[in-house]
Amino acid sequence: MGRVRADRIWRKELPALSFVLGAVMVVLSVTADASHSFHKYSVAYETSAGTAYTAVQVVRSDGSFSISSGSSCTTHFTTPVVYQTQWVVMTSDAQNWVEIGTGHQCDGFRYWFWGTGQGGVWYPLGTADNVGTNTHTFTIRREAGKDWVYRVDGVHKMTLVWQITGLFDSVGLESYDGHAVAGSHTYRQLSRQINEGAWELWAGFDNKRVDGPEMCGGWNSASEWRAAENSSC
Amino acid sequence: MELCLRVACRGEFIVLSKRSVSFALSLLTVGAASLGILLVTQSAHHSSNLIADTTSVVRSPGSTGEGAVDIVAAPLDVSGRCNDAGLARARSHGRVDGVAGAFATTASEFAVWQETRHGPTGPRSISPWRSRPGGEPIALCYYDGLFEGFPRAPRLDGAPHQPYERIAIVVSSDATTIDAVGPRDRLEVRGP
Repeated sequence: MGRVRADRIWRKELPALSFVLGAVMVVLSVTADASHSFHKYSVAYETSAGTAYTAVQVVRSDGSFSISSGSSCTTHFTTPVVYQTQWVVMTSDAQNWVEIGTGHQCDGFRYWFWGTGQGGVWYPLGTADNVGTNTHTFTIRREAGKDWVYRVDGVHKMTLVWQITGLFDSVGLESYDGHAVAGSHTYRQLSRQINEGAWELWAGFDNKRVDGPEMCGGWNSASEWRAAENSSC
Repeated sequence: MELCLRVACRGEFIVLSKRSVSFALSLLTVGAASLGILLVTQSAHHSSNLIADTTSVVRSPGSTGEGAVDIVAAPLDVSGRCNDAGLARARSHGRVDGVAGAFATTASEFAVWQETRHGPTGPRSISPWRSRPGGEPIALCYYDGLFEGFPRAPRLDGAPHQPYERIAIVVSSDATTIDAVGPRDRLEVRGP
């Protein structure tokens, strides 16, 4: 009797069970991958003023966001993380850019960062911790035809020498945390320079990208963008 | 309790008894455990293989052990730094499949390299390593895997980005710093 049952298991039940086991493993692996792939934006673009953007400037507060558990409280750029940030982007495929912003990780670990992307590779250039939640003016501006100068409230953070101009400016929220709660906040006095000319407010309502359903965003005016995540805006 | 499964190709039913269902659950448990062991084994296998391929370090004929880089003439323990602090830092940014390269250098040499590596027309800035003692030994470690969470400019067409599959980490005696992160085909393994 026992021998017959063992034979039955090997011939008939084992293949079925193997199929079930395989299906479970596939589901588990897909679920595990999906949990690490969240990357969404709520951003505004300024594209219509020409093809020689040389500055972007924003006045905004550093938000107090709720970030999911798991990110480091001491190591920058670890997921889950949310960025309030701004870029001058040199190519439409976004392989070359300069950037300054604020990173939000666990329990109020909030920091400014600045860096550059070149050929699709990102190079961090600096960070500053303990930045609080006050309002600041964040600026990246090219000077003397080649010097990209990063400033916060007019205070110099870094100079990057790069003889290049931008194709467009962009500003907003970038998230690697699908469960973060970033209340509605505003990016004010959005400004740009063309060929190192005078500061001018964004004017065109040119373009936007709001990756739903988590992200929220919209224009308050042509030079003011509001953004949020898992919160109305 | 009986559970019926229909086998599509032959159109017959297989009846699983309570004992069979219990057996299936046991098999699932064993399978999951085996998969875990397999993943850990594969991870270790990848790491040791890639570390063995590490470039720019001097090797002796023998190996010092599994997963280690064997340094003879380098003045700095590159293997220790890349296998310990550097690896831990890389893992904090994602999945590490292995070490793709390791370089022993000094703060002054590395600063010059950082400032000139993109050529006369590429971006360059004053290296933070200029403020360190020039002779301070540092290691530059490259890791392959999948790394996420870094600020990235949004494409104008909204298309997804190419994943970051390689990270370069500088390991000094007291800290680890990200030098660069990017797609494997765009971030070349090279050093001073």
